[in-house]
Amino acid sequence: MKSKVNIHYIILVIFIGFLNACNNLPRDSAESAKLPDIFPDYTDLTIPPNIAPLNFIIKEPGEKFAVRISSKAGKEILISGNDPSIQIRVSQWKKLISSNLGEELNVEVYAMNDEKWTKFKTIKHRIAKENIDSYLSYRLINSAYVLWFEMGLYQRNLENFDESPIIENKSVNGACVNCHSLSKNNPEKFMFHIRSKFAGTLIYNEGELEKVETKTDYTLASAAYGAWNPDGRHIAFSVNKISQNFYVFKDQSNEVTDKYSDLIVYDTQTKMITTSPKVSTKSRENLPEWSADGKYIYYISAPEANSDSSQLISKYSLMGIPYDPETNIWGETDTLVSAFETGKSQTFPRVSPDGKFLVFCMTNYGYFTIHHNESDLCIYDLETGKYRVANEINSSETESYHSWSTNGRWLIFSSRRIDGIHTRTFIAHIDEQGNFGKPFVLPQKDPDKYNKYLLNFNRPELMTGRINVSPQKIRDAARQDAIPVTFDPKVNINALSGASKIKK
Amino acid sequence: MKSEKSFLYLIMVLFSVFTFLFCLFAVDTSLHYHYQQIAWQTGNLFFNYYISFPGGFAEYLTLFISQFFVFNIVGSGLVALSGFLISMFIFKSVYTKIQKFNLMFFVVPVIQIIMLAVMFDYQYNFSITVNLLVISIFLFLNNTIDRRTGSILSFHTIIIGILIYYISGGMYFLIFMFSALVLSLKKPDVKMIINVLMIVTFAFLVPFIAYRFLFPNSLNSSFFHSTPDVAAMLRYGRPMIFYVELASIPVIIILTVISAFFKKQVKKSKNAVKNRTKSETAEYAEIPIRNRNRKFIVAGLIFVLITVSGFIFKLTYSPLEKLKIEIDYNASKQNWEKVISMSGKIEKYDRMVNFQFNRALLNTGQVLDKLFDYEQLLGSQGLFIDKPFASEVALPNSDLYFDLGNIDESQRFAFESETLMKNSPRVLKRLVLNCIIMDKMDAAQTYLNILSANPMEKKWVEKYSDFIKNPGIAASDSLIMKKRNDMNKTEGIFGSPPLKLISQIEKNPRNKGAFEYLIALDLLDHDLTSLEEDFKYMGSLDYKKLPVVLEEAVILFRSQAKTKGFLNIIRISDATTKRFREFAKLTSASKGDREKAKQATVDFKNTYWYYVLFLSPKVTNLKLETKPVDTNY
Repeated sequence: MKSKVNIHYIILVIFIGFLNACNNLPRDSAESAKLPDIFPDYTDLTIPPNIAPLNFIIKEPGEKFAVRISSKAGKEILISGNDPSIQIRVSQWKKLISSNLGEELNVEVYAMNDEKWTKFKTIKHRIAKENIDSYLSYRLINSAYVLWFEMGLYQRNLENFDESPIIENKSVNGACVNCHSLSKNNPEKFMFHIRSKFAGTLIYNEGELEKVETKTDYTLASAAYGAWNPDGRHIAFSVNKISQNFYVFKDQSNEVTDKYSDLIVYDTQTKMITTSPKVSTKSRENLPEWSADGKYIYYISAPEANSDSSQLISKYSLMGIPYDPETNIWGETDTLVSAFETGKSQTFPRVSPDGKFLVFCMTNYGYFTIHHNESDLCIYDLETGKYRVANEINSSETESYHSWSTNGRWLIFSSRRIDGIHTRTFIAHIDEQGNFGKPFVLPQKDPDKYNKYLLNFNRPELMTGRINVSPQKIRDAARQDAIPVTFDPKVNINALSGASKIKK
Repeated sequence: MKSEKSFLYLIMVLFSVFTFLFCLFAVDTSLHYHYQQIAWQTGNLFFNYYISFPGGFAEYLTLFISQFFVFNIVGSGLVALSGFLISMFIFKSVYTKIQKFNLMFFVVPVIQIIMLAVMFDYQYNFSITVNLLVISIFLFLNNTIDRRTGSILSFHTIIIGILIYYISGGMYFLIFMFSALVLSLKKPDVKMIINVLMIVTFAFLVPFIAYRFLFPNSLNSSFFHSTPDVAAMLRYGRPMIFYVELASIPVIIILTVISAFFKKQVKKSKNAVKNRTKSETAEYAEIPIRNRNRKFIVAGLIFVLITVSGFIFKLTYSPLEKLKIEIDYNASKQNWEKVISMSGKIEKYDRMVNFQFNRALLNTGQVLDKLFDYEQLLGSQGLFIDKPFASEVALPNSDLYFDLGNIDESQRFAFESETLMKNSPRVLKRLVLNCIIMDKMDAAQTYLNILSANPMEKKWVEKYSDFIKNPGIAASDSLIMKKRNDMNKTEGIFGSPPLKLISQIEKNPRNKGAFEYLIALDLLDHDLTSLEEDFKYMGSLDYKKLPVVLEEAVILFRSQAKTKGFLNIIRISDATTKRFREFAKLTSASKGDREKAKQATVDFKNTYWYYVLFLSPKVTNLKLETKPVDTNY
């Protein structure tokens, strides 16, 4: 009996010793005035209170490492060991940051070399009071331009590290799946396109899945870039004749251009598309985006492409047009940011949910910015009509596709700043005046993931929750024949665009 | 020989030795490694991907095993061993069904021959063999449980089947269920019928449930997934031997059962089976060869086996296909003289051989001397393979543009290749090198990180890690320096090969490779106007005399169009003039009969004149047949 007690005691001592060894911070350490070198760059951030742990790798030399994460209230998190990869437990992290809204979050990093510990300057984050939408959807795709093999649309829980497929293209015999879009970040209303095999547009609308073919005799192509009206019923699309050119401009591998493009609006209830001569002109109207009230369409437009070079060296202006989907009445077009004035091309307009701001990309030419390392994000104040380049979130590499959270306090966007080739998703806080906080890359369980992951996070879209329809159901709907849509008989123009091929 | 069983094992061992030697000397598994770019990696990211779908685990296992194909001797050993193990486990599974070994002497070793024959196709994915090995092991396990428990209802078969479904995929699950069903057949009674119905029902239900509720793949894939979903398999033609291989296990089992049924020599009651001990079974199996007649029968069967093996080899083994892969392999290793000499051994025209031959000339500076040593039957489509763009040309295209120093284009096609050949060491190396040349060190590091997870590439990774850490080392490396010097002009619309080449020559007038390819392009396209125009770039290059192909072209064009002033001032050597006169004489003697002229001038088949008159696609109207890929917009 006595020996058993002794054994238990020894085990307990070893266990406590082990815990101490794991989680004790060094007692004596030299202070360093510099911030620790960590990857990803998680320093001086404003972070959502519901974000997954910001795991990171300590890039400082060291044989042992220790990290203390603390805030005003709640239990601090201690991590130590030989591994410079710091992976924080989700439950501990959640407890700590959710009990410190609006407070500072301190991250102390220690590294030991030759038995001597160094404490680096404390990393200070601010925990925002406003949540970010809890899910993110994106397409994962290789860096190729023409070929593809495996790809899929995925959803990621931003509060932890769970990622699951919405659809993988092996469900549709390897077809291309692209251009997903949601209505007001609502996972109950989303759509995406399927190209080549099983072609069509799959629309999930509050429990109903249907696949439609948006190409009609009167439109120049199937629908491409889409935007849901906040009413959840109408979707504005561009229809485009797209081509690719390679190595046209310095340091730019690829230029995607349109020979023609028009705008259309699809009514999910009547399964009818409509347009107006004002947005189906010889000019190239593209990338529609609804206003917050759903009664105005922002879009971009470039002059008619008369030649290869005019197709390539096009500059798009940011435009707008009033449109009431209820009455199907179009207003007059307006130029918000003129390419003639900026000398640049404006693209990918996205309006904040409160209708105060519009964020767009500005680049030298064209509209497809992912291959443009000069592409930067700009913010346009819809009340004052003024824009500025959002330098606080831009980098020397590409900034491109972006999406707002439903509360308007977070913007996520694509950037290639980590290695110049692969597209990653970044998150930035934005205050009521339109000022951005320092952006940070979407956290991953393995903080080294971005250094060894060749898939690109394409077209990130925030979502208020999980898309609760199984990949199997989506597969079944995707493999069905597409329902043809009808073209609005009241549209009294000859096949939409002066540039379009006409069949009437 | 003491027993038939020992004798059978001896035959299996002999066949394994034969398989090993044949694989070593006639197949060469390192060519499989090269062609398929087999890449196993350490790390969770890689492992997690493969365990996320049915059949993935076996693919992971296959990649681990077949990465050793890079060493031919180890790879050949693995091929021989896998064939031996499959044969052994199948034999062990079925021998309780048959007392006489006659059939075994034929069917069991033939599996080994099939497992070797499939390796003759360099697109063959070794996962099929691994999956059959998995089935054979589990069949043996299933049979052992059958015998030990004596249970009529095969619940364990269902459990093993589900496991196989996950490890290997739908097709292998069906093969297992069918084989297990056949092996479980006994004297018909109610329990037996229930058992059959149960196995059949689950054989349908498991893939269906997996399709409906678990995995988002297609119904066809859920039931019949048999090869990995990798781009290389899109080009695998699934020859007859592939189906023979898949069918081999169930067919052998059926033959065994039929044999047992007709000979009525397996009539064990349920209790007898239940009570049989291991020693009894062994004794039961090891019946000595009893008489001279049986020896003749066995000898006859072995003769048939060897004949059938020979027949299988005759149908499947193609030294020509091996030679083509060897050419590709040597091109990747930059053994250009070997590429040139091996290309000469290919009698039937092949575009990829033509392409690699041209690359070999480019890299040895002989384009304008030996261009027509290989029949350029597709003209400039043998020089550049960009169009029509198909998946199989992505990596060779990247190689060619790398040779030419057009790193932008090389990188573009390397990206396309990376999409198709995930984790391929060749592609990753190309991406790393291109990034270093373009001074994109962060991206180079990303690719190098992935390559570093491949145990076979440690040395290469070590070398280029230093380049990334210290760009000064990269800047002084001769290859990097040369490519940086040759890099293309980076702005402009260069949609076609000649424009790409000109952009390079204008950036670096001393880019001899680009110049020679440009001239070759003009010659192959019979484009005299461009030829005259492009001659101007020759001045910056140190040609001591006009290359022979150019002499042939100039003298030909001069003879056809007297007004070409520029061409008239070029001096042609006496030897070429003499040869041309002789060629002209022979062709005139044919009096317009093209075929006769072709025969008469066959000694000139390495000349530009012969190409223009008889081989050029502009004359023969030969068209390239390829299937363009879907484009992603």
